[in-house]
Amino acid sequence: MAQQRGAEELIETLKHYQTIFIDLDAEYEKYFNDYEKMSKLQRLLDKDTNDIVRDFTDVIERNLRVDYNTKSSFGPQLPQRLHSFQWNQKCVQLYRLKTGLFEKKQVQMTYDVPLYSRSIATETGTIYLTGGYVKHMGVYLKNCYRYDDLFGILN
Amino acid sequence: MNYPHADHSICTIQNFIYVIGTFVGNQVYGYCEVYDTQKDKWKLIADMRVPRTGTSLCVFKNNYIFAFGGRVDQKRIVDTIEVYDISRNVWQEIAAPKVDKSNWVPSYMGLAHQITDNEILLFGGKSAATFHIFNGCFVFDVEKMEIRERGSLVNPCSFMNTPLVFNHNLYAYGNDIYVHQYSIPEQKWSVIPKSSVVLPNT
Repeated sequence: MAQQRGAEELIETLKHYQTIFIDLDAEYEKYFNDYEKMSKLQRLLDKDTNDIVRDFTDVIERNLRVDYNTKSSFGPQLPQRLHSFQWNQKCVQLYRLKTGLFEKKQVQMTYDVPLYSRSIATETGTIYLTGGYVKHMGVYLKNCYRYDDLFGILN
Repeated sequence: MNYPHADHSICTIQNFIYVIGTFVGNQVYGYCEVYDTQKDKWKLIADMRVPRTGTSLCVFKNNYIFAFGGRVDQKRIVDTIEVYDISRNVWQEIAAPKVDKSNWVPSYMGLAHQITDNEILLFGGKSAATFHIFNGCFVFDVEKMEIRERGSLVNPCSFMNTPLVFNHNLYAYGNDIYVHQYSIPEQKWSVIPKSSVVLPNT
């Protein structure tokens, strides 16, 4: 199972690189057409070597970067989702990255999701909600809640 | 937590959650705390040197937390950059001329995320220049110590949720009507409308 997933990820990566190469090819095609005319080619010959190298490096950097950090935030076995608790309401919105589906779920907690609270998912996928301000009580919170996905409870 | 925190910023490294700054009783404080999710324990850490809230936090190389911009009161968004060294429990300000911030527009309630070995993407929030939500996008090069513009969000947006990376893309749940998506290899922003929210019968 893990091997199959690894192979699928490799295929995805290779497809991605293929797209980059196709785009890059189209980019060079564009420049080639630009320099078809001899006068334009002459202009290129007259161009400062350092400028040519800089432009070329720039095109490469823009189109074929390999230094990016693409480590996913969660492991492959975990639910890949974005979340957002709605202030002054009792609900959470979820966006599931694999399916592209949005969900709005009711949340059980003592009061509404506090104003100015912040939440985060750790790398295990567990969501925590911290602090905030309960307006009708005039209270700033020291609380930290863990979100129970199954039962929709912040406790 | 040891202190109440509101309008704070938050980030995570492994099983730790860092809570940075707070806005309580119309006053900004630099209180910072860390939560060990495995031991269920909160611990105070060093205060920020420049107390502020709504900073754009970024975990860097698993040992540093950068805090960009934020507000020092309700009327001032600052271009302060601080870095927290986790192993030493020390905040240090990175100020000019050590860093070139001349092309950067700092913000409040923007986001930040490391995208390459040396680069941190900074985007969105309420602009210090106009005090409006903006679509600014910048890259902080930690090696060169400079901030440059890098395109812009499709729609101006502020954020209160931390972004995440999946399949070479950075996703951020906006306070507008979109999920904002940044293709890290292609360096392009796009948006996913939230309009298709499904309400399950539960």
